[in-house]
Amino acid sequence: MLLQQLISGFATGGLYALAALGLVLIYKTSDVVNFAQGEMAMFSTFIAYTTMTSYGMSYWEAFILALLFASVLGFIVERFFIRPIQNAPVLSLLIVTLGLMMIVNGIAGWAFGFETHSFPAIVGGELKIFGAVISKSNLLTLVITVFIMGILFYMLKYALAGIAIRATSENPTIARLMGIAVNHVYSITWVVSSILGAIAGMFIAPTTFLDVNMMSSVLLKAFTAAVLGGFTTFVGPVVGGLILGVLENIASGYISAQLSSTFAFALIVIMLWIKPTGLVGQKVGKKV
Amino acid sequence: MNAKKYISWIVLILIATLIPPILNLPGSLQYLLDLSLIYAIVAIGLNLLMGYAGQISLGHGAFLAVGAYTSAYLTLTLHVPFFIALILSGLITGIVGILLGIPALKLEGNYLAIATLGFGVAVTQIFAIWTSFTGGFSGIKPLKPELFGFKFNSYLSYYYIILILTIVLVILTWNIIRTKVGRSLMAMRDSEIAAKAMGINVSYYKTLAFGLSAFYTGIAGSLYAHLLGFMTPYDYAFSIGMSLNFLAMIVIGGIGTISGSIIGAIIMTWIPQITSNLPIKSLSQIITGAIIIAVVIFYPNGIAYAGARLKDKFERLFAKHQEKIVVKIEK
Repeated sequence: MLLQQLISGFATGGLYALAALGLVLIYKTSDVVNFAQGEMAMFSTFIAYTTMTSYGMSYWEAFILALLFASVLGFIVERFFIRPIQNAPVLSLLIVTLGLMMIVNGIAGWAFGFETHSFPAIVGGELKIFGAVISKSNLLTLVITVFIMGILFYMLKYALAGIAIRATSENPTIARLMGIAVNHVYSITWVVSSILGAIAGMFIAPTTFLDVNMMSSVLLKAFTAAVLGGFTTFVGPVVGGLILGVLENIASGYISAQLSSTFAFALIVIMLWIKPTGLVGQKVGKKV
Repeated sequence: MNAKKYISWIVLILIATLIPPILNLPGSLQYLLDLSLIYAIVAIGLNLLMGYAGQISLGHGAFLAVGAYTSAYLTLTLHVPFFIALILSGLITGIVGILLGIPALKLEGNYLAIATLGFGVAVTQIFAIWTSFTGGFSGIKPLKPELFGFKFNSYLSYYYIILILTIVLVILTWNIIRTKVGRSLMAMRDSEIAAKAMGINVSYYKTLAFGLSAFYTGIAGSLYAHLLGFMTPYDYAFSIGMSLNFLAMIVIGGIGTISGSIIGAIIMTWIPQITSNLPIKSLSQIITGAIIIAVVIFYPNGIAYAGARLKDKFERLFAKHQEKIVVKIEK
């Protein structure tokens, strides 16, 4: 029973971590918290759904097409909505991403309707490990999530683009002086973040059902994961996501599944109250 | 505030008082007029928090719900008279606001936005489950207000209650922002560290701002409950979507201006109405999102400011002529 809850907790936690990583990636490089991330992911998931049901594509074809769409969406949003006000105060950037959230949600409702659809899982069936019944899709989700994070961390550590991202997140001005095209870095982070969100969206959709408002609670979970682990490091959201996933699974077993967002809110408040930088975050100095 | 501004506000109040009975609006339009003033109260409260104290909130829909349900509970279950319930709803919501303000003390900008968003979602969830208080899916029916035996049955009679409260709260806001409290809030908005250095008790004023803002919204919530006559926790006005609309009101109208809050509230109440006849269901949402992005990018100070700038331009145009005359006389 506990093992079962742990594994499904890790599987959902991994998805929260993916979405949270996307948020942190953008936040660390450009100080923007993208409130539209959930809606962008929802839209990409709908693209996958539509190509599967209306155009008869296979799961993986639709999956790849949705990721392509997500990357284009991420690029467009950064280039045309965020870049013009790059140096504006935090509040303005925040309001723009909130506006985007409304627009993307509205367009999705217009284009795909407000009905709830069931979204296919990657695989069906269950496995029995040490007496625990674990769904295959949960396990595969976990494997894929770990794999994607592996690639991402490898890139951040060794690939040129990853090093550029880290340099920009440390100090954009100096990064620019060192010859890094900071604007390209911003584009890349938005594209990668959008892709991470879309993957999370497509893996979450089978459990929550697909509808226009499916991501609003997931976005809150991604925020919670990022706050728990800390917005200032790339490891933070992964740690936070996994912890949240497990805690939530246990809590919904013992308290109530209906209160999961309330639970997330309580975690946010407690964490920000005890340690605002998150579990693995560092303190960042402030200027007047 | 100069005499000219006083006069324009008085004219505005006269128009607001006289136009509805003269036009004799049909019920649905009068209802919308009532609603836009209720939202204006929320917007003024939110603007006090955001525009003057610099603290963002994405959870004001939840405050509206707290006010609405408190008022409904007080009048229906405890049989408290409407006007007392109204004030109590404001106070209780204010206390909830102070409670939310305490964790918010440590937060700013993005973190505060996340925490208040969480608050908004949590309250909706709790209210949906807490059926003994909210009635759940089947909803409850708040009564029409009564004063000395007179029942405010029509939307028009209720309009005057809302109008008077709006005016009272606008005057209250003026007094807040022109005194020490307002100056401290604005100092805190401009730079928290600098405000601290000047000896301003930042945590006190932050909590106060949350409490005040929630108080306004609680009053609006009470008014909303009794306007509606039937409500469930799933009402759109209590959702995160509405919280974003409240934010849109003050962004569009103008952050840090009272007139802007009112203008924004009216615009945001009427956009869904105008677009509702069109076949695209979510058009008003798309338009709202597009407008707030456009305002932030092109008119960061909102419509109220754009209007003032236009007036300024005209005045300067006239002033030029006057200057010429003065110059001639001097010669």
